[in-house]
Amino acid sequence: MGIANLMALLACGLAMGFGALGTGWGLGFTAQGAIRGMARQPQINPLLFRNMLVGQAITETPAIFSLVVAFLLYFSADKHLEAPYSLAQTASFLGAGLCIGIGSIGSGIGSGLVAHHALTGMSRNPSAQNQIMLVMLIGQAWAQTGGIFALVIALLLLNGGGFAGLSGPNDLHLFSILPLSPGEIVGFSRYLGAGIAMGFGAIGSSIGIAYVGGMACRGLATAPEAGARIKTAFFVGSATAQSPSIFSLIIALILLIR
Amino acid sequence: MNEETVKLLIGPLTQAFALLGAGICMGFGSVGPGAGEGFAAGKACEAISRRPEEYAQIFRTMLVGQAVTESTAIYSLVIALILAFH
Repeated sequence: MGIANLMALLACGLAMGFGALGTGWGLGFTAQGAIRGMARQPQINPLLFRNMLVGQAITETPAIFSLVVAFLLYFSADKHLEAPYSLAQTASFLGAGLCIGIGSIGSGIGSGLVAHHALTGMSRNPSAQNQIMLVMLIGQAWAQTGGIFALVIALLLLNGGGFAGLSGPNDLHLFSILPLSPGEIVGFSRYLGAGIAMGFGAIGSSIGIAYVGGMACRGLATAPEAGARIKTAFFVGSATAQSPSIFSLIIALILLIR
Repeated sequence: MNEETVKLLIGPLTQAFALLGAGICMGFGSVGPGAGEGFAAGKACEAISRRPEEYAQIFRTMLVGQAVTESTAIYSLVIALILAFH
Protein backbone atom coordinates (compact mmCIF):
# COMPACT_ATOMS: atom_id res chain seq x y z
CA MET A 1 0.00 0.00 0.00
CA GLY A 2 1.60 3.21 -1.19
CA ILE A 3 0.59 6.75 -1.98
CA ALA A 4 -0.63 5.66 -5.44
CA ASN A 5 -3.13 3.26 -3.85
CA LEU A 6 -4.40 6.02 -1.58
CA MET A 7 -4.73 8.39 -4.53
CA ALA A 8 -6.81 5.77 -6.38
CA LEU A 9 -9.36 5.93 -3.56
CA LEU A 10 -9.51 9.74 -3.70
CA ALA A 11 -9.80 9.65 -7.50
CA CYS A 12 -12.61 7.08 -7.24
CA GLY A 13 -14.62 9.53 -5.15
CA LEU A 14 -13.80 12.46 -7.46
CA ALA A 15 -14.84 10.48 -10.55
CA MET A 16 -18.25 9.46 -9.25
CA GLY A 17 -18.96 12.69 -7.36
CA PHE A 18 -18.37 15.02 -10.28
CA GLY A 19 -19.83 12.48 -12.70
CA ALA A 20 -23.12 12.42 -10.82
CA LEU A 21 -23.28 16.22 -10.62
CA GLY A 22 -23.97 16.97 -14.28
CA THR A 23 -25.98 13.85 -15.04
CA GLY A 24 -28.33 14.37 -12.13
CA TRP A 25 -28.89 17.93 -13.24
CA GLY A 26 -29.61 16.79 -16.79
CA LEU A 27 -32.00 14.01 -15.74
CA GLY A 28 -34.02 16.44 -13.65
CA PHE A 29 -34.04 18.94 -16.49
CA THR A 30 -35.49 16.27 -18.82
CA ALA A 31 -38.24 15.45 -16.35
CA GLN A 32 -38.98 19.16 -15.97
CA GLY A 33 -39.54 19.45 -19.73
CA ALA A 34 -41.91 16.45 -19.71
CA ILE A 35 -43.90 17.76 -16.75
CA ARG A 36 -44.29 21.25 -18.21
CA GLY A 37 -45.32 19.70 -21.51
CA MET A 38 -47.97 17.57 -19.79
CA ALA A 39 -49.40 20.65 -18.12
CA ARG A 40 -49.63 22.32 -21.53
CA GLN A 41 -51.01 19.36 -23.52
CA PRO A 42 -52.47 16.68 -21.21
CA GLN A 43 -53.77 14.63 -24.18
CA ILE A 44 -50.23 13.67 -25.37
CA ASN A 45 -49.26 12.45 -21.91
CA PRO A 46 -48.11 8.92 -23.00
CA LEU A 47 -45.95 10.32 -25.83
CA LEU A 48 -44.18 12.74 -23.49
CA PHE A 49 -43.70 10.04 -20.86
CA ARG A 50 -42.18 7.63 -23.37
CA ASN A 51 -39.84 10.25 -24.82
CA MET A 52 -38.85 11.40 -21.34
CA LEU A 53 -37.69 7.86 -20.56
CA VAL A 54 -35.75 7.63 -23.85
CA GLY A 55 -34.12 11.00 -23.20
CA GLN A 56 -33.25 10.09 -19.63
CA ALA A 57 -31.76 6.74 -20.67
CA ILE A 58 -29.33 8.54 -23.01
CA THR A 59 -28.63 11.28 -20.44
CA GLU A 60 -27.67 8.55 -17.97
CA THR A 61 -24.63 7.35 -19.94
CA PRO A 62 -21.99 9.82 -18.61
CA ALA A 63 -22.83 8.70 -15.06
CA ILE A 64 -22.37 5.08 -16.12
CA PHE A 65 -18.96 5.91 -17.64
CA SER A 66 -18.03 7.57 -14.33
CA LEU A 67 -19.27 4.57 -12.39
CA VAL A 68 -17.16 2.18 -14.48
CA VAL A 69 -14.00 4.28 -14.04
CA ALA A 70 -14.75 4.72 -10.33
CA PHE A 71 -14.94 0.94 -9.92
CA LEU A 72 -11.72 0.44 -11.88
CA LEU A 73 -10.02 3.00 -9.61
CA TYR A 74 -11.48 1.35 -6.51
CA PHE A 75 -10.05 -2.01 -7.52
CA SER A 76 -6.69 -0.36 -8.32
CA ALA A 77 -6.51 0.72 -4.68
CA ASP A 78 -6.10 -2.92 -3.59
CA LYS A 79 -3.89 -3.89 -6.52
CA HIS A 80 -0.27 -4.72 -5.95
CA LEU A 81 1.47 -1.93 -7.87
CA GLU A 82 4.98 -2.20 -9.21
CA ALA A 83 5.93 1.22 -7.83
CA PRO A 84 3.41 2.21 -5.15
CA TYR A 85 5.32 5.37 -4.27
CA SER A 86 5.69 6.55 -7.86
CA LEU A 87 4.57 10.14 -8.41
CA ALA A 88 3.74 9.34 -12.05
CA GLN A 89 1.50 6.44 -11.03
CA THR A 90 -0.20 8.66 -8.45
CA ALA A 91 -0.84 11.36 -11.04
CA SER A 92 -2.24 8.87 -13.54
CA PHE A 93 -4.91 7.78 -11.04
CA LEU A 94 -5.75 11.37 -10.06
CA GLY A 95 -5.79 12.41 -13.73
CA ALA A 96 -8.14 9.55 -14.70
CA GLY A 97 -10.57 10.41 -11.89
CA LEU A 98 -10.58 14.13 -12.67
CA CYS A 99 -10.84 13.51 -16.40
CA ILE A 100 -13.94 11.31 -16.36
CA GLY A 101 -15.55 13.14 -13.43
CA ILE A 102 -15.31 16.66 -14.82
CA GLY A 103 -15.70 15.47 -18.41
CA SER A 104 -19.10 14.02 -17.54
CA ILE A 105 -20.49 17.33 -16.25
CA GLY A 106 -20.93 18.86 -19.70
CA SER A 107 -22.32 15.71 -21.34
CA GLY A 108 -24.81 15.12 -18.55
CA ILE A 109 -26.17 18.67 -18.47
CA GLY A 110 -26.04 18.84 -22.27
CA SER A 111 -28.02 15.66 -22.99
CA GLY A 112 -30.63 16.77 -20.50
CA LEU A 113 -30.83 20.19 -22.13
CA VAL A 114 -31.55 18.65 -25.56
CA ALA A 115 -34.25 16.36 -24.15
CA HIS A 116 -35.82 19.25 -22.20
CA HIS A 117 -36.17 21.43 -25.27
CA ALA A 118 -37.31 18.49 -27.41
CA LEU A 119 -40.10 17.63 -24.95
CA THR A 120 -41.11 21.30 -24.74
CA GLY A 121 -41.22 21.43 -28.53
CA MET A 122 -43.32 18.24 -28.78
CA SER A 123 -45.86 19.65 -26.36
CA ARG A 124 -46.08 22.87 -28.41
CA ASN A 125 -46.47 21.11 -31.74
CA PRO A 126 -47.21 17.36 -31.44
CA SER A 127 -47.57 16.98 -35.23
CA ALA A 128 -43.79 17.58 -35.66
CA GLN A 129 -42.88 14.86 -33.15
CA ASN A 130 -41.03 12.57 -35.57
CA GLN A 131 -38.72 15.32 -36.83
CA ILE A 132 -38.13 16.56 -33.26
CA MET A 133 -37.38 13.03 -32.02
CA LEU A 134 -34.76 12.53 -34.75
CA VAL A 135 -32.99 15.81 -33.95
CA MET A 136 -33.22 15.06 -30.20
CA LEU A 137 -31.49 11.68 -30.63
CA ILE A 138 -28.75 13.13 -32.88
CA GLY A 139 -28.25 16.11 -30.56
CA GLN A 140 -28.01 13.92 -27.46
CA ALA A 141 -25.55 11.54 -29.11
CA TRP A 142 -23.47 14.49 -30.28
CA ALA A 143 -23.49 16.09 -26.84
CA GLN A 144 -22.18 12.75 -25.53
CA THR A 145 -18.90 13.02 -27.50
CA GLY A 146 -17.13 15.09 -24.84
CA GLY A 147 -17.84 12.42 -22.25
CA ILE A 148 -16.62 9.70 -24.60
CA PHE A 149 -13.35 11.58 -25.27
CA ALA A 150 -12.91 11.88 -21.49
CA LEU A 151 -13.58 8.14 -21.09
CA VAL A 152 -10.92 7.32 -23.70
CA ILE A 153 -8.31 9.49 -21.98
CA ALA A 154 -9.27 8.14 -18.53
CA LEU A 155 -8.88 4.53 -19.70
CA LEU A 156 -5.55 5.34 -21.36
CA LEU A 157 -4.39 6.93 -18.10
CA LEU A 158 -5.55 3.90 -16.10
CA ASN A 159 -4.00 1.27 -18.35
CA GLY A 160 -1.03 2.80 -20.11
CA GLY A 161 -0.46 5.65 -17.73
CA GLY A 162 1.22 3.77 -14.98
CA PHE A 163 4.72 3.69 -16.40
CA ALA A 164 6.06 2.30 -13.20
CA GLY A 165 9.74 2.03 -12.64
CA LEU A 166 10.54 5.53 -13.83
CA SER A 167 12.52 6.08 -10.67
CA GLY A 168 16.19 5.37 -11.06
CA PRO A 169 19.20 4.79 -8.83
CA ASN A 170 20.04 8.48 -8.43
CA ASP A 171 16.65 9.32 -6.94
CA LEU A 172 16.29 12.13 -4.49
CA HIS A 173 13.98 11.00 -1.77
CA LEU A 174 11.45 13.55 -0.60
CA PHE A 175 10.19 12.91 2.92
CA SER A 176 12.35 9.79 2.73
CA ILE A 177 9.73 7.79 0.74
CA LEU A 178 8.76 9.68 -2.43
CA PRO A 179 11.24 9.04 -5.23
CA LEU A 180 11.86 12.31 -7.06
CA SER A 181 13.72 11.33 -10.22
CA PRO A 182 13.47 13.55 -13.33
CA GLY A 183 11.22 11.00 -15.07
CA GLU A 184 8.87 10.94 -12.11
CA ILE A 185 8.54 14.73 -12.04
CA VAL A 186 7.79 14.98 -15.77
CA GLY A 187 5.47 11.96 -15.62
CA PHE A 188 3.48 13.51 -12.78
CA SER A 189 2.60 16.68 -14.64
CA ARG A 190 2.17 14.85 -17.94
CA TYR A 191 -0.59 12.59 -16.61
CA LEU A 192 -2.24 15.22 -14.44
CA GLY A 193 -2.09 17.71 -17.32
CA ALA A 194 -3.71 15.26 -19.75
CA GLY A 195 -6.54 14.60 -17.30
CA ILE A 196 -7.19 18.29 -16.67
CA ALA A 197 -7.01 19.21 -20.38
CA MET A 198 -9.58 16.63 -21.46
CA GLY A 199 -11.77 16.85 -18.36
CA PHE A 200 -12.37 20.59 -18.47
CA GLY A 201 -12.14 20.70 -22.26
CA ALA A 202 -15.20 18.47 -22.61
CA ILE A 203 -17.53 20.76 -20.61
CA GLY A 204 -17.92 23.72 -22.95
CA SER A 205 -18.34 21.89 -26.23
CA SER A 206 -20.91 19.45 -24.86
CA ILE A 207 -23.05 22.24 -23.42
CA GLY A 208 -22.68 24.27 -26.62
CA ILE A 209 -23.68 21.39 -28.91
CA ALA A 210 -26.58 20.58 -26.62
CA TYR A 211 -27.84 24.16 -26.79
CA VAL A 212 -27.78 23.99 -30.60
CA GLY A 213 -29.69 20.68 -30.54
CA GLY A 214 -32.24 21.99 -28.06
CA MET A 215 -32.88 25.17 -30.01
CA ALA A 216 -33.15 23.14 -33.25
CA CYS A 217 -35.86 21.00 -31.58
CA ARG A 218 -37.78 24.11 -30.54
CA GLY A 219 -37.33 25.63 -33.97
CA LEU A 220 -38.76 22.49 -35.60
CA ALA A 221 -41.80 22.85 -33.35
CA THR A 222 -42.25 26.50 -34.37
CA ALA A 223 -41.69 26.00 -38.10
CA PRO A 224 -41.66 22.35 -39.23
CA GLU A 225 -41.72 23.50 -42.87
CA ALA A 226 -38.24 25.09 -42.43
CA GLY A 227 -36.90 21.74 -41.17
CA ALA A 228 -34.16 21.32 -43.78
CA ARG A 229 -32.72 24.79 -43.13
CA ILE A 230 -32.84 24.36 -39.35
CA LYS A 231 -31.11 20.98 -39.62
CA THR A 232 -28.35 22.46 -41.81
CA ALA A 233 -27.72 25.20 -39.23
CA PHE A 234 -27.80 22.52 -36.49
CA PHE A 235 -25.21 20.31 -38.18
CA VAL A 236 -22.82 23.12 -39.18
CA GLY A 237 -23.19 24.92 -35.84
CA SER A 238 -22.61 21.75 -33.80
CA ALA A 239 -19.60 20.75 -35.87
CA THR A 240 -17.99 24.13 -35.20
CA ALA A 241 -18.85 24.00 -31.50
CA GLN A 242 -17.19 20.57 -31.37
CA SER A 243 -13.75 21.85 -32.37
CA PRO A 244 -12.56 23.10 -28.92
CA SER A 245 -13.06 19.63 -27.42
CA ILE A 246 -11.08 18.11 -30.28
CA PHE A 247 -8.25 20.58 -29.58
CA SER A 248 -8.36 19.39 -25.96
CA LEU A 249 -8.24 15.76 -27.07
CA ILE A 250 -5.20 16.48 -29.25
CA ILE A 251 -3.37 18.24 -26.40
CA ALA A 252 -4.25 15.43 -23.97
CA LEU A 253 -2.93 12.81 -26.41
CA ILE A 254 0.26 14.83 -27.03
CA LEU A 255 0.81 15.08 -23.27
CA LEU A 256 0.19 11.35 -22.84
CA ILE A 257 2.15 9.96 -25.74
CA ARG A 258 4.99 12.40 -26.30
CA MET B 1 18.87 21.64 -1.24
CA ASN B 2 22.45 22.00 -2.35
CA GLU B 3 23.52 23.45 -5.67
CA GLU B 4 24.03 20.08 -7.32
CA THR B 5 20.45 19.00 -6.54
CA VAL B 6 19.06 22.21 -7.98
CA LYS B 7 21.07 21.73 -11.18
CA LEU B 8 19.76 18.17 -11.52
CA LEU B 9 16.13 19.15 -10.97
CA ILE B 10 15.78 22.45 -12.82
CA GLY B 11 15.46 20.88 -16.29
CA PRO B 12 12.77 18.29 -15.44
CA LEU B 13 10.94 20.80 -13.27
CA THR B 14 10.79 23.31 -16.15
CA GLN B 15 9.41 20.65 -18.47
CA ALA B 16 6.98 19.42 -15.83
CA PHE B 17 5.52 22.86 -15.17
CA ALA B 18 5.28 23.56 -18.91
CA LEU B 19 3.35 20.31 -19.48
CA LEU B 20 0.98 20.96 -16.58
CA GLY B 21 0.50 24.50 -17.87
CA ALA B 22 -0.31 23.16 -21.33
CA GLY B 23 -3.00 20.89 -19.90
CA ILE B 24 -4.59 23.64 -17.81
CA CYS B 25 -4.37 26.11 -20.70
CA MET B 26 -6.22 23.89 -23.19
CA GLY B 27 -8.64 22.48 -20.61
CA PHE B 28 -10.00 25.79 -19.34
CA GLY B 29 -9.43 27.56 -22.65
CA SER B 30 -11.92 25.39 -24.49
CA VAL B 31 -14.80 25.77 -22.02
CA GLY B 32 -15.76 29.26 -23.16
CA PRO B 33 -15.46 28.90 -26.95
CA GLY B 34 -17.35 25.59 -26.94
CA ALA B 35 -20.29 26.95 -25.01
CA GLY B 36 -20.19 30.30 -26.83
CA GLU B 37 -20.24 28.81 -30.32
CA GLY B 38 -23.12 26.60 -29.25
CA PHE B 39 -25.13 29.59 -28.01
CA ALA B 40 -24.57 31.38 -31.32
CA ALA B 41 -25.69 28.38 -33.37
CA GLY B 42 -28.62 27.64 -31.05
CA LYS B 43 -30.02 31.13 -31.43
CA ALA B 44 -29.45 30.85 -35.19
CA CYS B 45 -31.66 27.72 -35.28
CA GLU B 46 -34.34 29.57 -33.34
CA ALA B 47 -34.09 32.62 -35.60
CA ILE B 48 -34.39 30.49 -38.77
CA SER B 49 -37.58 28.94 -37.41
CA ARG B 50 -39.03 32.42 -36.79
CA ARG B 51 -38.01 33.86 -40.18
CA PRO B 52 -37.09 31.03 -42.59
CA GLU B 53 -36.83 33.51 -45.49
CA GLU B 54 -33.85 35.26 -43.82
CA TYR B 55 -31.96 31.96 -43.75
CA ALA B 56 -28.93 33.06 -45.79
CA GLN B 57 -28.24 36.14 -43.70
CA ILE B 58 -28.71 34.34 -40.36
CA PHE B 59 -26.49 31.46 -41.43
CA ARG B 60 -23.72 33.81 -42.60
CA THR B 61 -23.81 35.80 -39.38
CA MET B 62 -23.73 32.58 -37.37
CA LEU B 63 -20.64 31.35 -39.21
CA VAL B 64 -18.78 34.67 -38.85
CA GLY B 65 -19.67 34.88 -35.15
CA GLN B 66 -18.52 31.33 -34.58
CA ALA B 67 -15.27 31.92 -36.43
CA VAL B 68 -14.49 34.90 -34.20
CA THR B 69 -15.43 32.87 -31.09
CA GLU B 70 -13.19 30.06 -32.29
CA SER B 71 -10.17 32.36 -32.22
CA THR B 72 -9.89 32.16 -28.41
CA ALA B 73 -9.78 28.34 -28.58
CA ILE B 74 -7.03 28.63 -31.20
CA TYR B 75 -5.04 31.00 -28.95
CA SER B 76 -5.27 28.34 -26.22
CA LEU B 77 -4.24 25.63 -28.67
CA VAL B 78 -1.20 27.61 -29.86
CA ILE B 79 -0.03 28.36 -26.32
CA ALA B 80 -0.64 24.76 -25.23
CA LEU B 81 1.39 23.44 -28.18
CA ILE B 82 4.22 25.88 -27.45
CA LEU B 83 4.24 24.75 -23.82
CA ALA B 84 3.95 21.04 -24.66
CA PHE B 85 6.96 21.18 -26.96
CA HIS B 86 8.92 23.55 -24.73
